[in-house]
Amino acid sequence: MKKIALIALAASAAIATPAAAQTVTGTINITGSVAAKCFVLPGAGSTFGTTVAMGELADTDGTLLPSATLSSTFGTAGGAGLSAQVLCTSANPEVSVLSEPLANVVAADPGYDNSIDYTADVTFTRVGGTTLVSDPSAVPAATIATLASRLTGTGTNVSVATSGWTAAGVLVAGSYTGKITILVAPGV
Amino acid sequence: MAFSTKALTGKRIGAAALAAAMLTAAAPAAAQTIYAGGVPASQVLSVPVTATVGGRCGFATGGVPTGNQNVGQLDTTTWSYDFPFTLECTGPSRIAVVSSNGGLKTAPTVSAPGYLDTAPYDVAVHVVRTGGSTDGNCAAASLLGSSLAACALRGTAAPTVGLFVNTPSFGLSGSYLRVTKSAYTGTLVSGSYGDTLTVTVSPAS
Repeated sequence: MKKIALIALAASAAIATPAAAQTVTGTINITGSVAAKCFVLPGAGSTFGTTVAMGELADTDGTLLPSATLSSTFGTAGGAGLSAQVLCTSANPEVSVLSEPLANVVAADPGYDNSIDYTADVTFTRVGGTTLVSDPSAVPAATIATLASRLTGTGTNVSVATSGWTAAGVLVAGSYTGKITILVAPGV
Repeated sequence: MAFSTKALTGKRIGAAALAAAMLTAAAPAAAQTIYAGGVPASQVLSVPVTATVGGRCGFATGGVPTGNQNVGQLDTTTWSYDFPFTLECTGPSRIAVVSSNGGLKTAPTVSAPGYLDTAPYDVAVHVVRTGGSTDGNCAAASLLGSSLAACALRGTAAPTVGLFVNTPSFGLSGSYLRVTKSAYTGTLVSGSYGDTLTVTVSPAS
């Protein structure tokens, strides 16, 4: 009986598994990283900007042109150079805006002015909204902010405008120069 | 191979008949010779049994594709790494790969346009076999178990699943799995990335 049982078992095995199939496994783990950084597109550069030639700043009476006029002139003269696409690999970039007055090296006597103040208004377009960072040139310190989300990944996402142009008295003749500095950093 | 029994009686005959019946389904040529008429009855049951030996197939000892590879900065470097392996397959085989993430992936998921949370790469398999070699190449994205992309490498190797290696590969050196950075459009977000490839081999049917 035992012999028959063994025979039957062997035969059954042969029927059920005509070809022994085995699967063996190897495992490969691959890792890498991407550092937090910001860059300007196209070209992954580190700077963007333009020179804005404002032209005549004074009205016929020698005082500063209306603020709205100068704001419009700034946008027109700056053109596309006032916008940029900045990308950061990090989720919450930190930004700062520092505006410096338009100044004339010629000294101003009482009743005259050789410095023009304004406010730089920089709009950061981010995923899900915008953040406006305004920095008055009358205040020496920069205005900083942490963006609540990533800068948008397509199209321009940084645009610069101005407002609140002001000066006291008659502007002395000469060249005026100022500067707006915008920093975009990866943040924490 | 053939077995035969000597005289069987009573319940033993029943058991033998059962075994013979089981074999009949797979062995239609089973012959049964019974001698009867004498006292005591004498029966000789001949039970032919056929069998096959399945092809042995696996990785050689020390020849399993395995490893932990840090490729460094994904967005600034070009990288390619080989993971050698050695098969011990006595017949045709199949080799298959599954990617756990379909690329080097970081967390959390980022869906904003222009940004990527997965770095694509390619997976190539080169098998040295008797008489030549067999190659397969797929994007890691197509090696996801859920991927619908055409890719002969994808899956868990089985007799009909995986890249078909049509001749034996037994102890032959030179086979490898290669991972290579591939091009992408967009910006990879900062973070740590990873993926796991599971490589399997099976006899082919």
